[in-house]
Amino acid sequence: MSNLPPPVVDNTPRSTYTCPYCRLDGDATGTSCTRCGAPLDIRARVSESGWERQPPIKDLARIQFGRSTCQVSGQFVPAAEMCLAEGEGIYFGHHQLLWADTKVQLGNQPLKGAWNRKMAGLDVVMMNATGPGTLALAENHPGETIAVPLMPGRSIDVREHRFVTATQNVVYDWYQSAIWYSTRDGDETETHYPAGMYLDRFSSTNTPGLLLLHGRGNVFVRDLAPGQTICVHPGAFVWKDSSVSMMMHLERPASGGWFMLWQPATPWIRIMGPGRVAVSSAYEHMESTGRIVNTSQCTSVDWNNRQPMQQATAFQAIAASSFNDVPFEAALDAFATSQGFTIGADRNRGVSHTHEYTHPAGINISCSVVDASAATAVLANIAGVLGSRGSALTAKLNKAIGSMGGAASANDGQRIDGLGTEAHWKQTSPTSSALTVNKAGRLLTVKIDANMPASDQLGWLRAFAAAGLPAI
Amino acid sequence: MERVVCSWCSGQSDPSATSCEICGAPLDSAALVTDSGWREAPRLRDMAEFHFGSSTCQVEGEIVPVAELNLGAGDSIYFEHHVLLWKDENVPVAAMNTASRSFGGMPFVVTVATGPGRVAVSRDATGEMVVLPLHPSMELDVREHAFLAASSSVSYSFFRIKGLANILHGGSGMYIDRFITQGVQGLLLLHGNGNVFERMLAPGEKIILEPGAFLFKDSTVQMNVVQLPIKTGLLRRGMYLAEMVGPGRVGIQSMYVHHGSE
Repeated sequence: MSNLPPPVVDNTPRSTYTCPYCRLDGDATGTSCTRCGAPLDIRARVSESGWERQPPIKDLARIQFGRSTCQVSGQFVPAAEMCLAEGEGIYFGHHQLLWADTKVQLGNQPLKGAWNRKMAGLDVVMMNATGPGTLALAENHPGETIAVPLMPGRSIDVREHRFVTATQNVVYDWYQSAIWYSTRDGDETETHYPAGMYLDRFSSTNTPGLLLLHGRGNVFVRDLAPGQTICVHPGAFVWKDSSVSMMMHLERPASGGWFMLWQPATPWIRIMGPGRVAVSSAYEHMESTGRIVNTSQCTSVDWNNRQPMQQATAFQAIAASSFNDVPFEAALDAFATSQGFTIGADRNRGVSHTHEYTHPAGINISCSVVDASAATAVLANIAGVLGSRGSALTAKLNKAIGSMGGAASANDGQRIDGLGTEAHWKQTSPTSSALTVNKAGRLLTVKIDANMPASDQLGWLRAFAAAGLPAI
Repeated sequence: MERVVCSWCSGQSDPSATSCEICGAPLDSAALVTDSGWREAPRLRDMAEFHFGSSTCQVEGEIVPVAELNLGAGDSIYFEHHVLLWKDENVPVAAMNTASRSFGGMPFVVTVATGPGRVAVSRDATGEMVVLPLHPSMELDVREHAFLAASSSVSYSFFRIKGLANILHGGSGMYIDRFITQGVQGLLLLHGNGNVFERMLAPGEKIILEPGAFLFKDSTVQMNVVQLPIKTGLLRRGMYLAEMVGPGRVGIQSMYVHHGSE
């Protein structure tokens, strides 16, 4: 978890409150959201990767739905006590009933496709309860009760066996998850459904409804941007917005080598946004898959061919974390324009940013700044990939790495003072020269190409360096 | 002398105490009662300590709690042999003869540990420890496999559930443990899976329970198995639930083994 700053206390008087978990407006005078039971007086706990802890519903917190209420009690294996108003009802799996008072009308909830459900290991019997009266429901696993208010038009998909109860106005449907793989042992082929054969879909059509789920262990939610993907352990998946898509993903730790029949893989779910997804921290252990002969639509990663991908990912990460070039560019552009230069090419390559300027008098200047530590990491990664296969290139890379942060040498050129940091000037031809400056782990190189005396070249280089340095 | 009364066990403690000296329940927090009258068993604080006879019990842990009992000289407790977590080397243990329990699928070796010395007991399941100081002349019925430990002043017996339907569909097994105090107060420790709730039923008041959720009841409470006209599977059998009829208190647990009605 990240080290969050102290919470900002907002003393603004207000009567309504938008719950960050159910995203609905509610009464702000209580200590918990009246729609989903989430505590109002806590701050969000978000991991560095973006997973947000779904706060457990406070002991004895009340949730209002229609004219009825739900009160959640207990912390290890919470029980949801549903106080049903006259004529209002809920439905639930019959094994979730903890107790009921004798006034509640209990009955069978009709379900379609009983045979398919039986074959898939789902409940073939659901009960309904109609008020007035009180009953309590509980799942038989340590974890948290999750309340999901469904506004009209919203639908969510839920992993099987996570459903506790829903109000009668919530439409229940179920469909094939289309996430499966087949293994073969001898002549026997077996199909596995790591996320369950079916997913439950709950939708609200005309009136708001309430859905209660049970997450085993602790529950975390996350918003995925459009196209954003994440791999999740199949057993951890709890629910997702219906806009979120899922597919099979396999990690292959070994290709089998000589034993071609032995190709174990770890099944995962690849989840793609946009929308919300929730996972729980307690889940069933997945056994070794054996030899997979067929899968649903699937992506896979073979760990034997993974190193280049890892390196590419490392490059991206390094590039993404490089410094902000905008102030540097703005300072240089302003100076160059004031001196009559035209702004030329702008090359941003993650760890290195180069800006070129041209003067009508035939002066060409380029200013580039390199993040020395990031560049060193990139070079080290490339050297690591090459290894012994490219010893000559590796040696050059290592030399370049050394020059990034190494001490000054005679090859660096003439030392220049007056810029407030270490700088060297070197003339490479009668019409061109370069000034290199080290500052705060950044390497600034200003080059000039102009037919003018060396002292004038140095003067222009110093002027551009002085303009750009404060912004580094 | 000024004393404070515990709302769970009615025991009296020193006003400066933060937890009850008799049952360990927190004294500085209000009882949690749902709208329908179920009271949550007091959530014992980690390291809460309470007394019985010349011995003490300290509760450690919150998810799978452990009862660490420091037995005074001559004091003894008994428990099922597999709940013993550790004991001092010098604490003698002996077996109580309860061989017929084995027919009900329960451990027939009930072990007696005698002080001085320390023993610790726990059940390997997520849940709550329920501390029930039993006043003289009390009878309490407990579902099988829920009993953790009891002081030797509590007499222990068990009775077979009557009626084949009750045995097959009652979800409470074949036997129910019964704990009785005579002239002396005693201590009974139970383990409830998940969270534990208690409710007092008025004379004649009925409530329907999932049979697996039943944890304990006063012996005055009647427990009957009732069949509801609800199809529970393709074979269309009715659903069996336990009907509890007052007067007396009933304790339930929120995590239970479903009794398999399909």
